Amino acid sequence: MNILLTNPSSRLSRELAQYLGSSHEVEISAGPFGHEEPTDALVRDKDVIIHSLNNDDSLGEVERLDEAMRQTYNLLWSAVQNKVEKFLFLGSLSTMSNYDSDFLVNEKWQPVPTTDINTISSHMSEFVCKEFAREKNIDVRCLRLGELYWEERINSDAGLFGEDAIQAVEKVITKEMCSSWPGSFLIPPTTWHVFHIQSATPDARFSTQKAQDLLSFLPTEVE
Amino acid sequence: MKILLLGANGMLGPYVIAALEDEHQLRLTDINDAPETKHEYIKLDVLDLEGVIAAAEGMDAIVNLSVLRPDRKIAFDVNAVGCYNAMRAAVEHGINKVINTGPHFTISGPTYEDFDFNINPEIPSQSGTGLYAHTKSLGQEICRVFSENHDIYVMTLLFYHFREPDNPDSLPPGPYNFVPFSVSWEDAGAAFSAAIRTNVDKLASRCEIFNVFADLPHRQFSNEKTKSVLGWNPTDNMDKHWRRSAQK
Repeated sequence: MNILLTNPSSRLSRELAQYLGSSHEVEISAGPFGHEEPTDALVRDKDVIIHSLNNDDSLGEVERLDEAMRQTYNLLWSAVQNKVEKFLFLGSLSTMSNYDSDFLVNEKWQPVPTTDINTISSHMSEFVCKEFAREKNIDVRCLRLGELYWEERINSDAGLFGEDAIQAVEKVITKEMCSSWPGSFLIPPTTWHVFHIQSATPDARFSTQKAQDLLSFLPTEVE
Repeated sequence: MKILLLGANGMLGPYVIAALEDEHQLRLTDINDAPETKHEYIKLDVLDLEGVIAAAEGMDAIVNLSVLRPDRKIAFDVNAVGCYNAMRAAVEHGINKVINTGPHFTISGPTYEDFDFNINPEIPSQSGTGLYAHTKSLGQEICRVFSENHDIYVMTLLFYHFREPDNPDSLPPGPYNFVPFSVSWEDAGAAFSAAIRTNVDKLASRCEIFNVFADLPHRQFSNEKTKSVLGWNPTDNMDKHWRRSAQK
């Protein structure tokens, strides 16, 4: 597959570029993603776009929102024009963390973002993605990722080991949706797929059952 | 009440000012130069977060009239980020009443409008991806998120076509082009006055949406909530434009 990855400043994007690069053609771009030819040129001939947001605290709120909304819109617009098959947005489980932590929250729950700029930005990007999936018939997938860590486990009930994140991305971009789902012949195919992704800690507050069932995602068991 | 108007120089601004100025102290802002006005005026781009926060100081309510349609960059800046800045200003100054605005397809985009009837403002938002509708819908979602996290009441007034019902030059050619979501300019202004007067304790939630259009016979959209909750009653009747007897 030809893959476009955004947000090279994140470790996850760089690790993904390296991992996916062994079996796919991967291009990584920092943007900015305008609505002119340079974005079209980046997107042209790609099969998959993997988009995430730059959580750089040095950027102002206005810039962060611009990336989350306008630049995501531009990428999706260009993806539709250039017939890109799949668009994957790497969102955040922080948009779901306002529920009582005793609840095991899955993808059927309404997002409850706070106005923290990281959280609301991720939520607004999802909002853009959902409208394109609904109206433009592009296959849009969203992984709401937990709090990433790479070496040492962090103290979080939504922790996500980096290798689990890579595994989830690799599985979600290669999975054919709809036709293989149990009972899928009863319902029309959807173009909007959300999955919660975190590692399997004893106190994990988000259910990854959907990803396990539909993507064969196997989260790392963490003591 | 002291009210900050963002985007006060637009087409709707004069009617909102006329509806509010007798009872309230207004601070007008717009990206354009000041018009002739007796009110305090600040030249302000809604994309300027610090400027919006400064302009909101000492205010009791914010009315966001800012809008831009065709340019992709500026549409996002004004319609979406501008809402964020207005809400940030409300949080900063403890302002608990915000009146936001948008077109009807902020909520009911083509997936509703092309299919359904009796469309009321309680439906889940489906703006579609059209630039104007989508960016306004993003702004509305930002308002909703702020209202869920802060003690701010947002009343969003949705409009579409503004008409001068007795001026044939302001009307579209033929009833087919006359969208059944039309209101006179004066009635539109009165909706702001009604929203500002409304006791927030009467609202079902901290973020409520209202369809603002004249009583029309089509049954495609509903304005009942606007009338019952805000106590707004359109005075300009437009159904004559669909009456065969009036065409003769």
